[in-house]
Amino acid sequence: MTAVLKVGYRRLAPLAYPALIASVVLLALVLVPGIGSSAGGARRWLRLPGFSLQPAELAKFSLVLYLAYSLAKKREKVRFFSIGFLPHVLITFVLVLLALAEPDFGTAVALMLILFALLFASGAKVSYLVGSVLLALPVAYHLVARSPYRMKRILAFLDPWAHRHDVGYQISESLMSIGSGGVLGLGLGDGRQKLFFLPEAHTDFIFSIIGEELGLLGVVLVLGLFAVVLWRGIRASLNATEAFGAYLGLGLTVLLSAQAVVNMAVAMGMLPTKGLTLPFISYGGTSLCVCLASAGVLLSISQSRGGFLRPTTGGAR
Amino acid sequence: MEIAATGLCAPKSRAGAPGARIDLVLLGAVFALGALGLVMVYS
Repeated sequence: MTAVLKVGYRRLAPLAYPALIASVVLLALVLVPGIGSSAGGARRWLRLPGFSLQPAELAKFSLVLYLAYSLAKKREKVRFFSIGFLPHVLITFVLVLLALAEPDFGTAVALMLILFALLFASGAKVSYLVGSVLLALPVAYHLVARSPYRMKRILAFLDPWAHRHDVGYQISESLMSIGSGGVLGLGLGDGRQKLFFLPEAHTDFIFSIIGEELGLLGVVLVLGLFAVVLWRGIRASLNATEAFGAYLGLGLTVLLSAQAVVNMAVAMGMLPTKGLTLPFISYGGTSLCVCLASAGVLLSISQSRGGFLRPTTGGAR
Repeated sequence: MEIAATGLCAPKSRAGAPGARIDLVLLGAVFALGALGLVMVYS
């Protein structure tokens, strides 16, 4: 985080295309048998000497960097379908396809959210955005209906207690964790669910353990801290001096806060289970490095005192 | 409604002040989340 802050976000601009190409290559490498390593039915990691790397986490950061750079470069032309809309959608689509092949539905959703947030903020036509969502809906339905494991997750989401001994096990254990915490929680380290009852207690479902050990107070604290990250991230983007900083800040704020909201909603049974980590809190080296680098970029943008995205008075351009 | 049409994307003439202070509120929130994560994962 400190390194990114010292380097400054402007020096990241020339890295936009190389980072995007590297992400595509790494995501493709994960799919190669013998190179990619699988766990929990998904092939998501590259085992390197001493550590493992999750390219999907890098891909989210690379996409934000690329979109911010490209949209800032195109500026007024963003409103044109063939210049501002189609190239960005196609490149995001390549990353989404690679993420789905792992399979990693959570990352695919996060990539789409980043794309739409940045296209909307940069002034792309809303009709294009709405149209592409309507076109994507049947594809999403097909992806869910065709995949037995996704269909099971939907069933578990709709009625976790009816499936609590098979597909709904994780979510029903998660709900019991949060419920047993009460207002003040059982006390730090006194949680019982992490003793092998709740799978992924230290990564995707750490929010449930916070609910169990620290209770409603802990949950409100975490929600409050993410609200601060969202507020200050948007503030930094609004204060950016130029388009690249504004879009980069906005993209990273969306990335951090959307992941947090989706992870917490999954733990509370409000969304079907997805493999998304809770930023800054979940165990996982690549995710933590990317989140801290994102925070470093946001802090770097926060040093600007511009107002590129702020509304102008009287419509003067 | 398009954002560009409302002037939301219009640049302002204010230049960025070099050497401005970083956002300590954001830094504090990130550190607090990280510390909570460390405590939760390793407790």
